[in-house]
Amino acid sequence: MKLLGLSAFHRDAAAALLVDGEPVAAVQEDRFTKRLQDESFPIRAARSCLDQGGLRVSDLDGVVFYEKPLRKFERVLATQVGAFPKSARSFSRNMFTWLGDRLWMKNRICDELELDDSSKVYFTEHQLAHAAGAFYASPWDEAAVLTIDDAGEWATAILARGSGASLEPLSEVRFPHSLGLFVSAVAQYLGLEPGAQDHLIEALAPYGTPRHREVFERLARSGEDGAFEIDQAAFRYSFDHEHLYTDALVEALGPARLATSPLRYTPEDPRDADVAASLLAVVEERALELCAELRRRVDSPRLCFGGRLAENRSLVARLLKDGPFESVYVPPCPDKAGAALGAALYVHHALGGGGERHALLDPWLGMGIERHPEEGAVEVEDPVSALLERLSRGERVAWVRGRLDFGAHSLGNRSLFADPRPADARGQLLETLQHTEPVLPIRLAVTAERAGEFFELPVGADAPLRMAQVFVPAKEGLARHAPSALRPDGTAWPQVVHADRDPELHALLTRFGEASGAPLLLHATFHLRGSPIVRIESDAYDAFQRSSLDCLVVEDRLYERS
Amino acid sequence: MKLLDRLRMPRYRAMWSDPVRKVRTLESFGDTEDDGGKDLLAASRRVTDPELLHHIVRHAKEEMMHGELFRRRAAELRAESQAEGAVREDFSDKGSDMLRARDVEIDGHGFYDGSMFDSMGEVAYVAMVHVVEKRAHDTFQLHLAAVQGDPETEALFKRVASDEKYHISYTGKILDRWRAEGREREVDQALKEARRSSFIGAWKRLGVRSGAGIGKVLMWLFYWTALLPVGLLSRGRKFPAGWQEPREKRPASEAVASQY
Repeated sequence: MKLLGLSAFHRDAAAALLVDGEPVAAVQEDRFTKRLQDESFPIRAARSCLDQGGLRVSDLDGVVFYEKPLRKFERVLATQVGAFPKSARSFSRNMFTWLGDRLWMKNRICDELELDDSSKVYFTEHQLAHAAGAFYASPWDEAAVLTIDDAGEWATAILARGSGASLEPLSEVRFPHSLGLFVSAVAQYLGLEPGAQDHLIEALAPYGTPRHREVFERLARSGEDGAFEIDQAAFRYSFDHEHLYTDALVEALGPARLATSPLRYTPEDPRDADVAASLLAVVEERALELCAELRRRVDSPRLCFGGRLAENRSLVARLLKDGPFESVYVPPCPDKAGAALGAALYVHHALGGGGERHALLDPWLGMGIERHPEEGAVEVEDPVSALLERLSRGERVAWVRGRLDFGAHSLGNRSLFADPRPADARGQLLETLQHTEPVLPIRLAVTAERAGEFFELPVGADAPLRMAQVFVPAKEGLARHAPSALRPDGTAWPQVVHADRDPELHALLTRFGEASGAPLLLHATFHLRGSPIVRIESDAYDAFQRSSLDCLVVEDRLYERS
Repeated sequence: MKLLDRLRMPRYRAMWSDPVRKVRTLESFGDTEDDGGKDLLAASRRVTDPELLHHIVRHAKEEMMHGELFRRRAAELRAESQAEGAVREDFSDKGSDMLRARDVEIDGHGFYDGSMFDSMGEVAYVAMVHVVEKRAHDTFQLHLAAVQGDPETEALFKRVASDEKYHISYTGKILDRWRAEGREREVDQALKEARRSSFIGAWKRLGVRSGAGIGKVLMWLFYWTALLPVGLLSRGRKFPAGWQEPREKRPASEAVASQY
């Protein structure tokens, strides 16, 4: 069975191709349009997936959209009417969009893809797409499944049981009670872009103390049997996409930060960091309560975790540390884009597609680099040696090879590396990429064999460690080898590299370790501030020119700054 | 000022007098100029003509600098006006997405696609840049006229307009040179095509905006008439909290065929 999954119109639109249950290709639309987290119909991504699979639209058995438009419309209409008369402005905007476009999704999909047979278009529930993306891509035959998200149709978080080809939803928390939108609203209060800059909340949190915890406990109350309830008096997100919080939040926390003013995270003025720390502390508690309820209902020690909050590395770490599950799996792309793949996986199993399950332990589902040597390219025999030589000189290098990563981060195919030993190595690497937020953490790639020397590795976190989805406590030795990678709370962000999954990166780390004493490299995704990850050689060269990187290696071609 | 421009002016004035729209517009100009610069830079790598290369690289740098200047001005205004409402919003429910158009607040210009140079060829590409720059220059004159009372933004538009004169001039000279080299027919055809696309694009944008505007007004009227009694009855409706049973009772194989 050949299925094309699509997600669109929220943020980070994507397409994914599934052939007989195996993910063959998946890519985000913004890689092509260069608009970060582009939400528009993923036509370029869809074409790329079909190209990679060597298929035409007519070869497909189905196209799957990651939401049920009519049920979502019901929710939008009900919440708009329920907010009368405050929703006057948002109603006209929302209804215009819905009546003019979103309600006719089947036609739109057929038009965009030039698909003749509309009976081939399928729809999944949004949270089930996330749940399927987490469970069917996991290496397990049975598991408990949790999604915590902003919203799709009505459900904002679900508990489910996965067993073989079956995925059974057990219970759900419904809109407007949404932990994802709760986080978005506070992000907007902090002057951040809701949804797009959540990582800054995570980055700020260790610089603060949770002194507003009681406020957030009140705003996101713990309900019966682990469910949660969001106090709607402080939020407007249920009917207004532009202004997500009310004055009640400002009264409780103080004046909001303006987007252009500096982040407040220093010991002298930790206001923003305190809000972030308090928010995360409460979100983690609520997630733990959901897990406790899920564990009570599903007799499995394994958790598959999807939805937007599964991207939060502090939260995954907390679930591993204090949660009731022995092991956790988070798919490479747990948020909206990943739901394109999840939707296709769900329909494949729902229609009895059968076939083997294919665990997704790497994110390399995108296109290759489209060889297009630019002027000044020098062929190198051994790219690893070329990179090593420059790293040992203290240079910051970019390495582009193989297939594009599906997800927010690159695990090595569109990456930057630097020697982690200098005290300001992290700051320099951030500056290279034009990132101006000094609180942003940077990953440390480490070989699997020696990761235990530098990090307290949690048990049951094999996949999250491999895909850099978790913060872990650093061991004493790390401060000596990578001082700037340590976060203020003593944790760090490792990516454990296995020789069997990525022999080239493993070789680079091993050989660097032979010279430096520790197989560790600072590792950042290759994208400039405000731009998506580079896709092809031409993009990489563009970004190289606009950054202050010292060199770029694309497959076996070396570019150096003249 | 042409009659059409006079008719457009109230809209421009309304936009520049609204602090939130002003910030958004400057930010969108910033992004568009920056994108245009990047696209030109990408195109410059395919250019073999040394004269064109020199100009196009300078042009790219200027576009990116304009982007930076627009963004900087937006940031200053945002801070000054405490325009909390001017946060970058989620574009997901914008009406204009219906026609795959971008809801740029008002008339920026860019070069759309970095690979255009390859697909169009040098003559068509330069003709397109020439036409787009002319149009942008005219549009920025309108902005300049509407932005009165804000000397910093006014100075910024003057600066951009002056750079655009150079962009129009060098593309015009290159096209003239090609004409003199015997490519007259090719150049004229490319210019004609660029003007036609530009006109069709403008017509489509007008359609999208008018349609969106009328649609929103109709919805607003509907809200305060037909929906009023329902709204009053549903006002303050509480949505259930706590665990809810999944609503889907159909077998999964059946449910996936339904949009509900």
